Amino acid sequence: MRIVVSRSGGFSGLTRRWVVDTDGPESSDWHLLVDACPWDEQVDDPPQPDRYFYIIVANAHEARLPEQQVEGPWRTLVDRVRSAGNPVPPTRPIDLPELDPPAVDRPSVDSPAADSPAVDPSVVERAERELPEDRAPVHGRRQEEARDGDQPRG
Amino acid sequence: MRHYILPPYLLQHLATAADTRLPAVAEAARAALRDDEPVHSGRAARQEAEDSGRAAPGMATRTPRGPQRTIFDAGQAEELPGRRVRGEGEPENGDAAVTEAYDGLGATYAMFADAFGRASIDGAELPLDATVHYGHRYENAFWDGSRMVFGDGDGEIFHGFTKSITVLGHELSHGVIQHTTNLTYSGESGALNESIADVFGVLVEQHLHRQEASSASWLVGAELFTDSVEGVALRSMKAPGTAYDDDLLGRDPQPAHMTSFVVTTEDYGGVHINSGIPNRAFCLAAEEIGGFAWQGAGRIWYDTIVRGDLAPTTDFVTFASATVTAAHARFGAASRERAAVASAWKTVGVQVTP
Repeated sequence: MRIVVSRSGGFSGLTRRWVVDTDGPESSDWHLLVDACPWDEQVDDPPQPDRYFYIIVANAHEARLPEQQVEGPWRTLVDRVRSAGNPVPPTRPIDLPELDPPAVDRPSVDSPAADSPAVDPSVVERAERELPEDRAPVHGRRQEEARDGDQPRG
Repeated sequence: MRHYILPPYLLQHLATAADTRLPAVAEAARAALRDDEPVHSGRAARQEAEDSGRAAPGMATRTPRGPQRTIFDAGQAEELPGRRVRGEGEPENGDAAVTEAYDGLGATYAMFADAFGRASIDGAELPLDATVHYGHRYENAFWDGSRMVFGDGDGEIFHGFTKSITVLGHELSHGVIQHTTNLTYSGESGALNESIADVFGVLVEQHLHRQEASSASWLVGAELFTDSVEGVALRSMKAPGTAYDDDLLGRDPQPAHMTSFVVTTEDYGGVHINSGIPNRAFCLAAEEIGGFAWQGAGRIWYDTIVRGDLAPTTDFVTFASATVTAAHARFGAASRERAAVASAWKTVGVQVTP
């Protein structure tokens, strides 16, 4: 199982992502953490300006959560992925939605964060390719809006 | 009526806080308050509301009397509000973050009061509450609907978020937006929400330092990056996309034109990204008009959000048209202010509807 945590927004608008592959002795622990999260109970919560926005993908689930909802089992999962997973250096927010076709002009990942090991770019691309199909409707809606935004408005 | 150099809220402060040490000053201030009339801008705003013959939500309806600030300390936990550490008129407590927050809220209150006659974020003297030292190495600041919250940064990429007056002004401006045109925090309306907060954030800094549009930096968060980052600020309103270009952070992703509008699921649809487009429009208009930006373009933007006729889901085109209408209403159909605003939106690729 691959778990991806994306934290975007905040005042800075910088996106950070962490990726973890759960194959191994601790795999069952990870499944417990993932299963403990209320994936189907996402409620509408009014956004609070400048708070982070989380996208969490695991095991054919996708959750999109405002920061203030990342508590309880969500917080446990996110904190575990952040500490155990491969941190991807901060990337442009444009990266995640442009999953297919593959994103272009990807920022360099040759210089890792001071406290994080470098991540092979192929790891990220693999994570993107293997994101579950059930996120498609979400991005499909955004794509329609993309067409609206591509041209000067009149 | 008399006109005083000191605004009423400062008089109020002197009349109360200073009365034990400077009795003569306090008495003079109290005397001034007794026969003072509403400040010009407040009176003008009310007159305009009356002239328009309709309700004007969020319009200043009273003379600003001065901020009522309270600063709390979260002690690096994530519990709000935290411990109360400084109230209005109380002395510094030796914590730089507390002092920065207190002073920044004061500067923000002063800009809205002086420039627009607005009494705090709701136009009715709502107390200003802020929490500092939120979270452990928390690299952010936010508005939770009732208070401003500031993290200390990680010390490696970010300094503490109270160090930047534009950040403090930005967060409080989210409160003003919430109480006027409550723009939905997603997509284009969310990017407008962000942009307007940036606009008033930089106006707080320009007002504090008496900078004209031509000499202002137009940078947002210029004090946040440590020396290890290749960048001058988090955002540049004058040149979106150029604020930083760093090995760790990547490159400033803000577009400067509609042709580069970024479509993304993250960041509530890129609200901190696409805000670059209306940010640049404001800067262009302000530079074209010249002088103090809060008197020209800033006044127009403020008028636009307090008119009360914009839907929460307003998009760029609708907002742009509303600013041109507001420029017309305040400065005239043939004014250079109106022409400058219309031209600015055209330059960034937003076609204003006639």
